[in-house]
Amino acid sequence: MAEVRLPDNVLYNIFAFLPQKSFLRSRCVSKYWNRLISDPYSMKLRSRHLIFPPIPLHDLDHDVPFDNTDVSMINLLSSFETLRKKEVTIVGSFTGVVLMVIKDCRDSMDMLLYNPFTRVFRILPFPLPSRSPSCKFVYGFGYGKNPNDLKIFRCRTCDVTYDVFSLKTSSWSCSQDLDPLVEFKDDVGTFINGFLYWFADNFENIVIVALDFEKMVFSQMPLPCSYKSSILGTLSGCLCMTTKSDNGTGFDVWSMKEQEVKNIWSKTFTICLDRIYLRNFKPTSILDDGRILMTNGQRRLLIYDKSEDTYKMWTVMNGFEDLASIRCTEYVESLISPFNICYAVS
Amino acid sequence: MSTSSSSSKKIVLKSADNETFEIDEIVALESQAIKNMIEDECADNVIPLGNIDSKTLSKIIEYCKKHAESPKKDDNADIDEKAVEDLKSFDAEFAKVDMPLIQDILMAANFLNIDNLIGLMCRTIADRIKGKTPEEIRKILNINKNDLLSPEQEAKAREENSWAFD
Repeated sequence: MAEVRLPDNVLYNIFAFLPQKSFLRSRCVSKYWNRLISDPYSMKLRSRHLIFPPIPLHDLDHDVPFDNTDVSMINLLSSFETLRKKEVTIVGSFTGVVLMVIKDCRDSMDMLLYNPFTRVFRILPFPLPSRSPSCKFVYGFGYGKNPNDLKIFRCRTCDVTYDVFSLKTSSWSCSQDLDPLVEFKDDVGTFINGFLYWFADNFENIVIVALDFEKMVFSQMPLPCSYKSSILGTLSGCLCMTTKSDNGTGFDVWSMKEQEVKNIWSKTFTICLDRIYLRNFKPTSILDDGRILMTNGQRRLLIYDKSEDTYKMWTVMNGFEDLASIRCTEYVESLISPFNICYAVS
Repeated sequence: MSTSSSSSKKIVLKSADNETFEIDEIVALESQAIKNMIEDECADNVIPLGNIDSKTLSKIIEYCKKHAESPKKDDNADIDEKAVEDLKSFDAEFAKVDMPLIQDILMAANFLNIDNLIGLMCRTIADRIKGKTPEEIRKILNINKNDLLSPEQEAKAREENSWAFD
């Protein structure tokens, strides 16, 4: 039989249907396949995942059909199991590389970049003191004008110290005069369009503080609605926040559009949770495509899909001690190494 | 020259081995490429398909007929569950052919731009190669051995994704 060489677009299509292991192993089929699989384009067709604590990290594939309620769709990423860590904070992700901070049982902390797809991780230097059990840390991951210039922001709230790690130069610098004079309500900032956002208390009101990653300055803005079970997130590329509906049977989602220099907020949609068994659910993460992760704090997770106005729910395994504030992040399957993520973001 | 189209209009396709197939236009419209030709009025009464043999073409027509007859998924209309199941089992049966024919159908579907059929064939190939070793995949797809990775390249690929090779 004569050899048929399938065209690139067709091969990409086939790769997209392969499970992770088979996909990566297929690099060894031929030089041609190796080239195609290593091409960032083939990764764009692969699926998006959610990753969330606790350790062992939980991983949820977006492409699992929405009507599938099988618990097995939550896969545990086993490579961290041996690390015996206590607590993980997932800060954010770019091009398939996830930034997280892990605390071990002696309260010693590690910051690491992890590619859950290739399972490669890189431990970043963590500025001292990395061991301060009672001190709260606030984090953010993003960039200013230039996407290649990824930065990690860290605030140590006990003595109000601000540190910024540049992935380009692989070094920390301390910012003395950055103090926004607020108390952060969230430990992880929401990144969008060059800014990081947190809820914060300015000792008069709850506000949103924004850090301009380019200029490295803070600003504050008032909330568009009341601060009740509120979380920040992004929705179709806009900053958004949730608040409890007036009638108490669900949540309203507000989103912010920039218009000239003013920020205009509007109520985008309402999640109706009027069934009795849904009453205790609260949003914990908003995904840009309109999916919202919620929990009832008791081993139940729910993903609400705005576009279909449907939800699916799972019971998760033991180990979710602090499910009420569980925060997930979305990542795409990619071959980008945590060691050269700076050259890959665009 | 094609003029206005009606549901009973016929289209004739001619395979590489000069066999002709007369089909309803609605069936031919499953192919985006033929649809474009008809809309641009550049389809003659007979459309020659010089790179598709009759065996492959008759399979493709079988697929398009079934899919043209089935109710389309529509945002408003209620989707008939039974029809969806019926189409699913048709697809599953349709894909039970040998690998050379699958590749021929895939190449033809790609040329004729029939999205659903491309997806079905790609999924079928993926199902048959998943979990297989690179050597087995080369055999299944009849991939030329002139294009093997050098030992250095192979070692690099294995090292970069070591967990996948456990």
